[in-house]
Amino acid sequence: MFNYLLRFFWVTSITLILSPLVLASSWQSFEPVKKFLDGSQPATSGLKLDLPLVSEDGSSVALEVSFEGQLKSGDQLESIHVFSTGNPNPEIIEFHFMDPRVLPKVATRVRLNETQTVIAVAKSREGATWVTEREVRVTVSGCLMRSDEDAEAGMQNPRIALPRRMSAGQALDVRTLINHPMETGLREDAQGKLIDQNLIEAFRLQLGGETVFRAGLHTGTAANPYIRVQLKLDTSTPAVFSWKDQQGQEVQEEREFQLR
Amino acid sequence: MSEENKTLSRRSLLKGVGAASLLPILSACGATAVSKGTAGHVVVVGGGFGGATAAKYIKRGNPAIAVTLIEPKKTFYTCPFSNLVLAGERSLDSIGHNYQELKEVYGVEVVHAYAEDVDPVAHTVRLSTGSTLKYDRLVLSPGIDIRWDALEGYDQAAAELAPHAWQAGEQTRLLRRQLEAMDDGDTFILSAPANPFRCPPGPYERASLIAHYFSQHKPRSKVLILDSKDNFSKQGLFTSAWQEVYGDRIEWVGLSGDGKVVRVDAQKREVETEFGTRHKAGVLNVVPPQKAGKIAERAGVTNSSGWVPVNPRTFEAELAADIYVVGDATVAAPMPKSGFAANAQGKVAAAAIVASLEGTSTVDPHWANTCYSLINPDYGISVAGVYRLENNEIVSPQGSGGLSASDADGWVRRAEAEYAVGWYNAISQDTWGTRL
Ligand SMILES: Cc1cc2nc3c(=O)[nH]c(=O)nc-3n(C[C@H](O)[C@H](O)[C@H](O)COP(=O)(O)OP(=O)(O)OC[C@H]3O[C@@H](n4cnc5c(N)ncnc54)[C@H](O)[C@@H]3O)c2cc1C
Repeated sequence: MFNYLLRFFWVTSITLILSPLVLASSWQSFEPVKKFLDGSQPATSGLKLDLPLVSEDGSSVALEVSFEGQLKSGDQLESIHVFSTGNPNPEIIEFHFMDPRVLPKVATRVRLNETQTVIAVAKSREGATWVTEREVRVTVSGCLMRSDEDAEAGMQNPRIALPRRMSAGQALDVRTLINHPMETGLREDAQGKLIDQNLIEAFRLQLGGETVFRAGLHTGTAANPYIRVQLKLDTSTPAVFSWKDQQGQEVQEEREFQLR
Repeated sequence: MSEENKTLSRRSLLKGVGAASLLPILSACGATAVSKGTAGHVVVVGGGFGGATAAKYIKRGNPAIAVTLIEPKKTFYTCPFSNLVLAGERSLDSIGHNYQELKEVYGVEVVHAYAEDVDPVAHTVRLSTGSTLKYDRLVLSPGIDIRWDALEGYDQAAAELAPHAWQAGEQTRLLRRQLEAMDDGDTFILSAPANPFRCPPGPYERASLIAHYFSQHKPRSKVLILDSKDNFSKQGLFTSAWQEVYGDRIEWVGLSGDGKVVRVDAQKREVETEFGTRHKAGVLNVVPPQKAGKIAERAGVTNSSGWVPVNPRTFEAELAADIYVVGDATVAAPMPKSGFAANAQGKVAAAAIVASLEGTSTVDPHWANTCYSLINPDYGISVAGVYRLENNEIVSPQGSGGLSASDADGWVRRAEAEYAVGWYNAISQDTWGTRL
């Protein structure tokens, strides 16, 4: 019995210490990631993925991804792609950085079907790559059971929040939200008929007429897409935020970044 | 389980205790870290649903184990049914419980103090009284603490103006007084947090019962729920009941409708949402983001989420040996942070502790949970869940559990409101021995 207890404690402490080492990385054997990396050897530090350890509602899980790695002088971060290893489709969302005024730190809300590993990969203009992954446990809390409700089909209520006070050189959080069901094409209606896929495909931010940031949205992006980006500006500038759905419909919102 | 205990007579209870006390003989050779010559000393921190239950059931399992319960309050007010107090349907006294039974029937030593710190290596707990207790096994059931740094403008001082009332007692009294003093026509605003938080249906039951109060005493007043989530517990049932009973008195704004409150001005009773909408309240109730009770942090058993990961088989903390954590403080999803769950987990930890002190082992636990919510005092709805272990994780088997029917008759709603009272009485009896 003494042995039993001892063994028990050993086992817990050993798994605690060793698990990060012995767990094989998922990204190495995950096709969509291998395709993205295209034979390059990614750095495993520098890209940071933030997700809750446990989520009680897989239909909307807060995700933040940021790049803090080293770039060669003259090189720039080009894109970050986020993949699911446990959803029917691997694509969650992708971010394209076209201008250094957009900082590589983005937040959104994603769908996770079940407990799984989420992988983020990043690429620079000159082809350097980074990878990171996080395990998320998805459980529907016992008190959270609910029935699905039908949402309106179109794009509605675009919302933009800019910081109240903005000054040059300061990191500015910009939040965006638009109401849309992001139908995956995998869901059935009450009669058991598949509901057609209906997604917003792209989000774009233009500053002074120039596209500086683009996001590609997929079935793994949560309904009512939420995207938060960070900007660093030197001068005041007009901005256009736009969303485009699969039918080519577009919604635009204009704002002014007024620096003090 | 609570029903069963309720019907146990004092005599059969004592008999049960007697039988259990034979157990240590079987394991007399099972040398553990227990102090020589005793069956061991267990310190329990927190006399709420989880802690009081654990203390009682350790004594029931083996009365020779010395149990010390640390709880600052002499009277514990439950959060369950505190929404009825807010609505003026019950007195605060009627949801108060004490530690008489634990002391007198079970021989638990109850110390009214606050546990300041835990040294998991030395196996000691330091109390606010200055004394230090040594334990063989420690149970922490400290419930929640508020994350005072997580919501701009919402600190301890703000909570005196815009109460959370998410720990019952003074805060409940304060919110009730504010509701009574509010002008007819003013709006009651409730800001609800993102998951995970204590009692997933709690904010919506509160909104319902306050709407009930308004419908009788402030007919022109409304209830606005600003939510940091798009989905909430029993959403369909709540939404249709609100419509049926209260018309448009209750309005709910979810995350994707700009319902997330990001700033509180408690002086002005005003909140600002993520996309810059400002709302002014007559009475402002902020249910803020939460984390495990501070003492769990001090003991070093919380992870980066602020909650305590546990081995679900025993509810022993993953990050320290001989420390068991139950109730709201733990990561036990899909089990909800409910009083019902805390009580059940307290029993699992008690059994595991008794077994480990005796050098025996326990069987795999399974649990059930029911959360009743009241739309008004005669209209109840519920969600029930069944949980068991699979690969050492808590899971809810496919097809188990369920919700009240969405098309049930009035008498079903009335019956569920009665069951809610039955549940409350049974769990109070099981946890504190209080019969109302
Ligand atoms: C409005 C509302 C309605 C609810 N309704 C229901 C319901 O209908 N059904 C249901 O099942 N659940 C309900 N709940 C949830 C329920 O209240 C909690 O899940 C339950 O209280 C959790 O038990 P616990 O033991 O973890 O914490 P608690 O019951 O809060 O007990 C914790 C105790 O620990 C003490 N403590 C904390 N730190 C220390 C320390 N350092 N030293 C000493 N003592 C300490 C505290 O004083 C407290 O007494 C409701 C909650 C709310 C807010």
